[in-house]
Amino acid sequence: MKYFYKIKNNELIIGTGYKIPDGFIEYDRDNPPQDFLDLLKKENLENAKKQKTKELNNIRNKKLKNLKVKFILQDGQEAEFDADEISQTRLARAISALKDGEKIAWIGADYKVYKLTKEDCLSGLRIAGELQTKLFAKCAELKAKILQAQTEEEIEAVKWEG
Amino acid sequence: MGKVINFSGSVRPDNVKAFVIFNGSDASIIKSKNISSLTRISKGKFEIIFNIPFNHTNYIVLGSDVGSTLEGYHSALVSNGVSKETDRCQFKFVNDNGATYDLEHLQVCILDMEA
Repeated sequence: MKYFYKIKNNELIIGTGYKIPDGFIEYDRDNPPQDFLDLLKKENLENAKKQKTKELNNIRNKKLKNLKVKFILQDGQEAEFDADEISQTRLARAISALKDGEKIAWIGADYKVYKLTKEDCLSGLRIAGELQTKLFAKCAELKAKILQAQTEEEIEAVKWEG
Repeated sequence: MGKVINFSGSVRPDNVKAFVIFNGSDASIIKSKNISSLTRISKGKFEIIFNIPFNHTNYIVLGSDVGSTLEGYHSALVSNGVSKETDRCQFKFVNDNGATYDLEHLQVCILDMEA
C-alpha cells in the first residue's frame, strides 16, 4: 500500500492506494515530510477548535434550558421558578396582561402554586435575563480563548467550570 | 434516455465490482477490492479510483458508517456534486447537520447490475 499527498490551496489532500494518482507525491507514513505535518497539525487544531466550540454551545444550551430563578416574592415567600426561554415568554405575557394589584397563579420549581404579582413577574424576568446574559457571556469568553489557542493542549485546558 | 435495465433476482457476488473499507480521518484503507487509490479531498470528501475501470457510469455507489464508534456522530453517503466517471467517483459523508464529517470506519460498495 502506498501513501500519497499533495498540497492544494494550503490544504492537505491525502490518500492511500496501490497506484499513486497523477499530481500526488508518495510519502513515508512513519516519517511524513514537514509540510505535511505542519498542515496536518493545522487541520487537527481547527477540528479540535470546532469540536470544543460545539461542546461549549451544548453546555450553554443545557444550562439555558435548565435555568431557574430564586427570589423573594412580594408576600415574603422565597420561591424558585423555571426561567428557560419559554418560561420567560410566559412571564413577559403575564406582565403585559396583569393589572396593578392583580395576581396570577404560577407553578414553582417545587411544583407548589404561588400567587405572583406583576412586580413578582418583573423581578423573575429581570433575574432570568441577567442569568441568561451571564451564561452567554461566559460561553463567549471561553470561545474567544479557543479561537486564540495555538495548540490542542490549550484547547483542552478550556473548561466550563461551575 | 439511458438504457433501461430490467432486473429480477438477487444481487450476485459478481455484481460487487469494488468496495473499500477505510478510516475517513487519514484515508487509510482497511480492506478493498478493485480500488487503485482512495483520496481524501477534504474533510469528509473522497475520491476512489478503480483498478479496473467500468465501461459505463451506471454503477451504483452505496455506503455507510456502520462500525464507527465515535458516540453521538453519524453520517450518510451523498454526492459530492461531481459526475461519476468510468474510472473514478467522488462522494462525501455528511452528518445530520449537512456538514461533512470523517469517521474511522467508513465503507463504500460499488455494484454493477449490468454485469
